[in-house]
Amino acid sequence: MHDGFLVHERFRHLKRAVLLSVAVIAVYAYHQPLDEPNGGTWFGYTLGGIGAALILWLMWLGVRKRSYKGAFSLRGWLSAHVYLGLALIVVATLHTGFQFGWNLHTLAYTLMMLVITSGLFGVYAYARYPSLMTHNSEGVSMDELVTRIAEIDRECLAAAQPLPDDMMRHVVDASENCRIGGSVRRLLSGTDPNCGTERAFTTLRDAAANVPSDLGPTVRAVLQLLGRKRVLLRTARTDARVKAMLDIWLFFHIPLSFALLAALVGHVLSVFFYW
Amino acid sequence: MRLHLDTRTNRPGGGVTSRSAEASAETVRLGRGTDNEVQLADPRVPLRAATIHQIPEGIRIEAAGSQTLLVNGALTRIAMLTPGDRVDIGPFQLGVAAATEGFDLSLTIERQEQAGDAEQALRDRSRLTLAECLISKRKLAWVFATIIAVLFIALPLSEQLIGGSDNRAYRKVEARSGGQGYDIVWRSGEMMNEHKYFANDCVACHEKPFQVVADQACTNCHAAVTQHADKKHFSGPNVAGKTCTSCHKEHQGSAPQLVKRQALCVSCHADLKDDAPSTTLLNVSSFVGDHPEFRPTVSVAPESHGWKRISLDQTPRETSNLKFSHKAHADAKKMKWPDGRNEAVKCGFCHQPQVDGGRMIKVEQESKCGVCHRLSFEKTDPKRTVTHGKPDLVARELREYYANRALEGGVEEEAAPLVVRRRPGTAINDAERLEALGWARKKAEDAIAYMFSKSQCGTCHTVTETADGAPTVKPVQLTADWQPKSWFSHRKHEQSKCGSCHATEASESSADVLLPLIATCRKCHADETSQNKVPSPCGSCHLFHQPDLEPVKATKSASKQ
Repeated sequence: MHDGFLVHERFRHLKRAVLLSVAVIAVYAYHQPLDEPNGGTWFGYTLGGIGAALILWLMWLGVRKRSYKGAFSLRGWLSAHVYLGLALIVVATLHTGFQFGWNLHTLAYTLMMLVITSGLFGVYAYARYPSLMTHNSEGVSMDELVTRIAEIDRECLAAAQPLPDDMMRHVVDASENCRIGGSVRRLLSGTDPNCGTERAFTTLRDAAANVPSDLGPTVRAVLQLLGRKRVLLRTARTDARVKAMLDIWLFFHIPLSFALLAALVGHVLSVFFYW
Repeated sequence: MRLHLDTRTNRPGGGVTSRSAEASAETVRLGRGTDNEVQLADPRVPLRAATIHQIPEGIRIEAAGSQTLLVNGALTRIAMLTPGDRVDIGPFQLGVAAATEGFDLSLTIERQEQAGDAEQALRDRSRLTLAECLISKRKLAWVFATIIAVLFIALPLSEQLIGGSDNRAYRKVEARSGGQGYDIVWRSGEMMNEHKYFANDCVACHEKPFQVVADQACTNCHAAVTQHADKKHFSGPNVAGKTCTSCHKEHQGSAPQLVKRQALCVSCHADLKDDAPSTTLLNVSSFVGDHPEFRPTVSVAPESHGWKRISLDQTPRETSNLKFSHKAHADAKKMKWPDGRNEAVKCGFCHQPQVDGGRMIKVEQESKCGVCHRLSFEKTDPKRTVTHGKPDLVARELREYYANRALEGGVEEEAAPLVVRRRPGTAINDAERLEALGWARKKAEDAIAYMFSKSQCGTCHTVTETADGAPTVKPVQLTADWQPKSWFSHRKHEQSKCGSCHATEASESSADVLLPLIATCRKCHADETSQNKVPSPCGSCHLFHQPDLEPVKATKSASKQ
């Protein structure tokens, strides 16, 4: 029975994260420092230590996921990563004592929140998109799709040999100006507004009424092929889109987490440099 | 025209295969269509690309329609073909070979590219992953991390470490030359207003890296501030372990952040034996809880300036050597003012708060008591009084007065001798002068006796004798400040009636200490967390340790009368 990373081990890591958060909130409410709550009280230092350790451990996932051995499964690591990453919101926010300003310290906090937010999208993506992917491609790999599309291309060009030049141009266009993906926008939207196949299909369909009768069967054959190609292209583009959605958030999550790492080092250093 | 065709195909493994064909026609047509003598089957080739004619001049090739041909690399519509010429149509390269036996034209046809790379072309055109379209995550991570490390770590750090001794050495609060440094990004909060003028100079307080701000950093400017509690006497951790920054916080906003919370005081005063084993102070941890009954400082021995702290529990009696009945003065029937009206003396007539609204101004005999209790002594000169407060001068003043009257003459008393009743300006002889002086002396003695009787000084004072037998009054010691180490604002309480705290109505003796019990204060005041009474941490009444420290709002500490 498949257990997703969110459910892993009966929500073990969710429970731990909630426990940590509740404990931290309770101590924060009870602890009344003589001055205002801030990162420099003894509890502030404790939370800061916990938060920094959490951040380093969370980033270690990047190392662990590239390794083939480990005491705990990668899915367990991911589950812990997600839930403890969420608990970090509580730990870090209470560490600030709700004191914010235009400085490196708040920058580190902001970067952390951006990382967590992008991670939340990641959780959503990983929970939802894989089934969409299966549903779309039904087991056919992208490689296979590309091969099939190229094959239809060839058939199309061969079948269209007798067509007049202006129609032939469209068929050539469908072949030469057809691509899957190509840019970030095309990948993420799953559509290609400049697709030659679409253009060719529409034009030939509209022109089909006006061809001489002896070319009729040829045009119909070409249209049928173009139609099949369109379907395959749609599948391929949706597949590429889903994979892109599963990847795009990482372009924020990872670079920002390294920015956070740098900011965190700066934060700790500066706080003790000017103690 | 007879045509020989030689189609060459490149084999995948290498090598070339050749296929020959022949054709015979009037004109040789080239193109994609199947009706062409030379069929060039590629979508990019028009149905009819060109025609070749045999004309007397030779072999001529002509492009069809409005197209152009590429003959020997040059665009043209018509060309004469000779062996060795090359014509490019679409992906096909046609070579004109040397005419062979029996043929008018010999052509070789080669295809430039493999027909089968449509799939590869599609793959090449496509970009299926974001990684192919975007800068890599790793590179981006490096860029971000480097920017942050440079701006927020390297620059401020290098400025501090490399800036030279000028940057690191303590300077007595001058603004850092060159203005704000890169370490502004490290500032964790707004500075208090009074410190803003050196806000760009972090080193003014943070003297050594990785060391807590030392007391010396503060006392470099605040040199006059002494230790709030003497570390020699208070050697426990609660005092000896404290630094300036234990209570005085910076970077917490524009207002000075001083710890005023009750918990700070209670940390020591809840159990004083740890820090001050020999103290006589009682332990306190909360106002409504275990704050002891007030122990005012009561005058017990005016002659030797003796004071004693006595708890109100014990109904202390003050020895002031002054007699006064509040009750009498509040009785309208008993009080008769100089203008004749019967009106009780109001509290506010005698008692006014000082300028700061705190304690009451010392009651002055001359302006208050003296309105009714005039120190007059001579019926014929009712406005003339003796100086209050200097009993040793009274006798002299009286003697001087009467001597003067005798000397001047014009006394209107019937019983007085003629000499003193003479018209002023009249000369007198020696004997008359002696008589006048004798009168003056007698009058003075009478007046002195009168002054020091129950009717005058004795009304309020206890009359006694000096060592020489001269009349005098016992020294008076009044309290200006029952609780000199605390602070109270009468102005803030002016909405309340005086009598709600001070039980004057029943007080007939000045020995009564008319202070309210702590229970009275507790009717309105409670600890700092209270929501339904006035939250009053320790600092709202008590001064903090330093005897010479100006309390938060009040006057200087006790001045004894």
